[in-house]
Amino acid sequence: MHQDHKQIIEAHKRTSESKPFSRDTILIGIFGGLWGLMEITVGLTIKGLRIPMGGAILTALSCVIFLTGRYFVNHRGSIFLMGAVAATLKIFSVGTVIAGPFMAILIEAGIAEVLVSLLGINRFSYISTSITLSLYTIVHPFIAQGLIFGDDIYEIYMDTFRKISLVLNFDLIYLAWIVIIYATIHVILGLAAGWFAYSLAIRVGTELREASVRLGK
Amino acid sequence: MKNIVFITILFIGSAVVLNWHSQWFIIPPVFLTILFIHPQAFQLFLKGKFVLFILLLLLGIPLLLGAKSANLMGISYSFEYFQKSLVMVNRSLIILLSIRMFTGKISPEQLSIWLKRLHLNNFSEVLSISMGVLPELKVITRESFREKNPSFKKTQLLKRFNNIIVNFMLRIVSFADQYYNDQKIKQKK
Repeated sequence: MHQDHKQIIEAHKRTSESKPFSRDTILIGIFGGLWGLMEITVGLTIKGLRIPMGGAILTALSCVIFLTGRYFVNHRGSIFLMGAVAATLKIFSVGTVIAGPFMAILIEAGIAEVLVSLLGINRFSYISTSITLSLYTIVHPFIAQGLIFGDDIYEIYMDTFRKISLVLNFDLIYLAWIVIIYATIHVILGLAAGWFAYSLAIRVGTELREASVRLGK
Repeated sequence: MKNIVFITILFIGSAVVLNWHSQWFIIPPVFLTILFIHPQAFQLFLKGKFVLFILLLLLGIPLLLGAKSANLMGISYSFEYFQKSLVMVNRSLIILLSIRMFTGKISPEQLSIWLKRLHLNNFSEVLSISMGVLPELKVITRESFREKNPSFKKTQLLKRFNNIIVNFMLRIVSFADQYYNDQKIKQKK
């Protein structure tokens, strides 16, 4: 086990013995841990198998986890906290700090936090958040490349596409169609994840309430 | 630690203002400093995908795009695009090597301390809870997804999958409640 990992667990034992955590803190910790665990295991599998649209699939799964968690924690900032935990767990799993996945999870959590805080907890908000994050996975590499290589990279991309379209004798509109189809698949994935996350949260909430009523009787 | 943060910011800043003329003065000291502080950062050049992309930018783009304005051993290429590509490659190298140097010098523990300073309330508590419950989460996940429900037919795959996920989330939330109650009982004792 990593030395830092051990230190944090020791700190956890000391803290939990001295003062109790609130239910919200525990839920954020558990859902953040679940998100991190998913990023480590499923993320590694998707990367290893080179599954197409792996980023979008991983984002959809993350959405289901943190949006379900957010339903039970009516507390602003909780998604970002879950994301910070997931990102930290991911780097603990590797042993060293890898900037890419760490920043990607934090950005994802930040966008989701803003959207859910603005739109509230409802099906529309959940679907919008998942679709936005799913579409962001398409844009993310271009933003990252723009930051790393500078603005000129976009010019080179456009010139290359123009050249290819000239050589193969097809119009740039076909490229636009490919982009639209690709984005539509992402939107459908996001829509399904958001819809499922909300239904799941509602059903789990209902079942828990029914169980507590049964126990009360 | 503070020195590494300062050097990283300085290097990334120099990468942003990099151009055809300044790169000859910026690149050597930056590379030498990184080589001195964290030579492992240069393992970046072992990444096949990255090297291929760099080669494509440096060799492919000037051959394919733009007006052919220069000639090397009978091969004509665009000097304008070669200039652009070289600046882009150097900029990317400075940024990526600087980030690698920075992340190689900080530990995950330092990073979690940095996150605590970001005014993230209860971050240390939340992280410690996550670390502590990870083994239980693994067990719950494994058990939930391995469980077989004979009441569903093979054709009801979606319904079966939905049921597994609902049961899994129920277990997760119940586990959180149990954790909360257990610590309250401990506190009373």
